[in-house]
Amino acid sequence: MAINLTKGGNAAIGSIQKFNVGLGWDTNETDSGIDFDLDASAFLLNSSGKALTEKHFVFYSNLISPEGCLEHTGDNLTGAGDGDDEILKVDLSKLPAGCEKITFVVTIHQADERRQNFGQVRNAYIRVYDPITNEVIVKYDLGEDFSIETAIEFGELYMKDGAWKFKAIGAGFAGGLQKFVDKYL
Amino acid sequence: MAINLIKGGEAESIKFAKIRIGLGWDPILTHEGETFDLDVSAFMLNSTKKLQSDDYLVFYNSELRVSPNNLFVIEPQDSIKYPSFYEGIRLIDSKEHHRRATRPVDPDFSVWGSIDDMDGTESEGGDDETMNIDLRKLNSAIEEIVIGVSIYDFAKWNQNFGKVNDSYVSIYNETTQEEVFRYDLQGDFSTNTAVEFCSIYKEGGFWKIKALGFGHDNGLESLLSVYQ
Repeated sequence: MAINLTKGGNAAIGSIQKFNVGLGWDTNETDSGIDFDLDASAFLLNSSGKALTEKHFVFYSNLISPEGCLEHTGDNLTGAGDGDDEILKVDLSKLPAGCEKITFVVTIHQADERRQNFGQVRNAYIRVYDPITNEVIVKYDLGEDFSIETAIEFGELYMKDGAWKFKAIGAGFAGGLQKFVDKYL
Repeated sequence: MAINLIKGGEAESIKFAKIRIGLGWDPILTHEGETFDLDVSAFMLNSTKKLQSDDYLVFYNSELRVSPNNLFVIEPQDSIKYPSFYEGIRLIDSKEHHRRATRPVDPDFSVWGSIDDMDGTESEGGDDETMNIDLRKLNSAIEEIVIGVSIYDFAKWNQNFGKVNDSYVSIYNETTQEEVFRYDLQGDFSTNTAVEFCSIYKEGGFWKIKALGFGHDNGLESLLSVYQ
């Protein structure tokens, strides 16, 4: 094997304005036969960590933010199929003033009623990629450390020193989507 | 008082097993935005004066790496523990984050390289990079360790060792923290982008050290072409 002398695996990517955030997961078979419905949502947050307005909470009932910065491509009700289960499109050229962070979360729809949690979810990941070239800029596998959680904060885009950065979080909570609504609205 | 090593001078016996090597330098910056990235490498050589294998080059990109807090367990790359992030517009991926946060090590856990200080800001006055060697743990096939310093991406700013002042290598007894040997690089290295500083080698069953002071013109690649 050759010795590689170059530091850093990736080249500079330039300042991409448009990219997709894809979220994927597989669910374990359950005896109940009830489908898993996982929902991806995102919040456009201001400097105090709150959504700019209710309309800046993008989820299955509000598919696009007012300025078009963030768009949800639609709800996958079963998690079936390979590849990304849900995709959110980000266009930083349409970023509303005052937005400093975009946080991406995934929650289980009707988790309590269906007695489901992230312990039954496998192969969860979040990836950010260029929609034109399909080049993956960053991908995180979230591991399988979850059990009774029904809501996971997958990752966030945030502004630091004038540049956008991406950070995976992978923090689990109980309380489903309501947990994040309480936190960010 | 440390013994000063001189290029072409006598070799000195090393009478302790746990060695810390500190290297220092003082680059002269002549361009706006210029950064100077010097790297220390250890070439662990067998009786044919070649790397025992690729894993016996302990340097910034070594595959085998440990956490600075746990020197005896290989620290795997983990995208949760070492997430990607942006540094300006440059993506620092998980592999690079892991590389920057860990120290390189040889397969026998006997030589540990430095955390990579990529712009020379790590220390003010003290050693810029440090290595550790435990002579008792070395693979018995290793007969010599050559310590080299090279300038990364030297062509970008037209850098060479003529633009580096006060380069030295200090050899400490890790147990007593005493500086035992010191070699101040002297001479004209103005065309050189890599320098072999010193050699720690086995002779008649004992470990010795001598100053080298050999300059090369093609950075780390030239050292690799000698020893690989």
